[in-house]
Amino acid sequence: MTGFQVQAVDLSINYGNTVAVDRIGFTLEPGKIHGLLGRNGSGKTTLLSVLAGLRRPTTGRVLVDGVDPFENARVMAGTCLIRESGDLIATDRVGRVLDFAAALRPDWDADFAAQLIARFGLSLDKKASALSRGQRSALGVVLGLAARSPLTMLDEVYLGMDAPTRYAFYDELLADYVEHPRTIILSSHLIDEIERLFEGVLVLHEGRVLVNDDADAMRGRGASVTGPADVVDQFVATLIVDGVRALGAQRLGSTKQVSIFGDVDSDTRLQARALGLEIGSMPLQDLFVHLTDSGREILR
Amino acid sequence: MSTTTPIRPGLGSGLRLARAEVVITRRLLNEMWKVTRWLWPAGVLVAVIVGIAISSVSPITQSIWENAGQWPRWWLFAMAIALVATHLPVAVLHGVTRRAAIRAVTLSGVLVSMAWAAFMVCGHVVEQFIYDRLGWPDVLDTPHLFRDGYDVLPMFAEYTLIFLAYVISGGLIGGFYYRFGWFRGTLLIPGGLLPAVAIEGLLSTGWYGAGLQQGLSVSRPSAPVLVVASIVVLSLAWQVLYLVLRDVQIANKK
Repeated sequence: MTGFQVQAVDLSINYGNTVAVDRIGFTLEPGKIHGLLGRNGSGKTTLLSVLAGLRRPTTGRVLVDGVDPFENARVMAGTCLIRESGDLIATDRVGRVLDFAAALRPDWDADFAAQLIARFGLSLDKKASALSRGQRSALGVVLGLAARSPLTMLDEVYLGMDAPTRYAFYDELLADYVEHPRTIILSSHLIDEIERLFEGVLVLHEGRVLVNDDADAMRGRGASVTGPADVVDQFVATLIVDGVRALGAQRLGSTKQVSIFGDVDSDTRLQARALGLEIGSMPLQDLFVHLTDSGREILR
Repeated sequence: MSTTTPIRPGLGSGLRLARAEVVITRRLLNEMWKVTRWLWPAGVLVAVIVGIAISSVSPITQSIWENAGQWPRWWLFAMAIALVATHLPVAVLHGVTRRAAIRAVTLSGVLVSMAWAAFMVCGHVVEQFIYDRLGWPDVLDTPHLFRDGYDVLPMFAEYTLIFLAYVISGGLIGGFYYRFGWFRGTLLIPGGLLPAVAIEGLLSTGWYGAGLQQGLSVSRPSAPVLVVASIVVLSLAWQVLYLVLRDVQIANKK
């Protein structure tokens, strides 16, 4: 199993007069873990709902494994979206929830589900309505991972989970993905915790695609330049001429740090070092914050 | 991964059921049975208590079980409303197409209606037997397709059609609320009730069915005509239900 490829072509999704997704296009390679990042209201959940066939696009189209997923039996059976809202029948006990999923999911792994249930400390006899927020999230993770769907989408499923449970989830996801590669899309606000899993990153901002890139390449495109303010300003000005974008700046006395986004090659790094400047890496979360802060300008 | 399976228009495969349909049908029947296994004895108990209470103050001159046929209608109606909102989103999120879910709901609705019709038939047969032994007149209050408590097949057909009409009405109202929201859903309630009212009117069963037919001064056609007409009405109502749900958006719960 290598997973489903995902494509959006000139895709728009409106809610009445509100444009949630605005004429976007992208391709997500199959068999990779993609991070779907964006601020609240950026269109992440709406996009996932179209990919899962929960609604039709307003205009444009999405292709999952090459076809429109809406009401396509093969693609829908191979797509699993776990939403933060849970989507459980309140009167069902956990065991019944798992039985139902096992009966409907073609690639369901019951042993793996049992292993996850034990790891997250869930009781099979507990009713869904009696689960805490974190337990509901953990059950969502079990459903999402044990389904082994060629397209697995987890939309902020960590809500209510404590830190040890979240890290257990990340570990289980990575270990299972290594054994059973498939296309996984993770939507999360806890970027610093989860970024190590990402192989690709899709950043949405105000319904538009801000970045769609390989995760390592994206990390490499973000950097901070630190040094004497006037030297930093001159150096960054030369980079901007070469297409690099300054995302933000901080100043402490005569020292200045400028966050930049763009390709910084080894020659540039050597040049910076010769000027007494330090070029540091930028965590994905900081890069995301800077990008979405200046997102409107970048999109323009 | 191949790229095949074009979307089939309509329900396509008729009665040929795939795995998803079977799973959902079994689940819905199981869900219904969990409640029904308590409702049936409770219904019998209430009918017996009512019979004893009436017979203690005056002689019994008409069928008690006939009136017991009212509450199953509304129970099935309420269940159908609830099932749309609770089970359709979960089925779709488990990778089931709406078409498959509607097929499963349809099959479940027919089977549940038949099961409740069988329950009603059993009640009438037992009641007729008791009344005969006690020498009571088992008079039916409103017109029916059946003549007495032993006229089993027309009775089964009548109850099946009526219960199915209430299931479809409930499904329509549940579908209207799910698709159009609470305001427009509420406005559409009369439309949702149409199948139930139409079948009650056609069969002139129940006090409002009989009243409707008397009010319109319509003479009652023969039983086969009524059955065929009812099936046509239910098929049309089902088509509307299918149109409402076939591409409904599965909203995110707040």
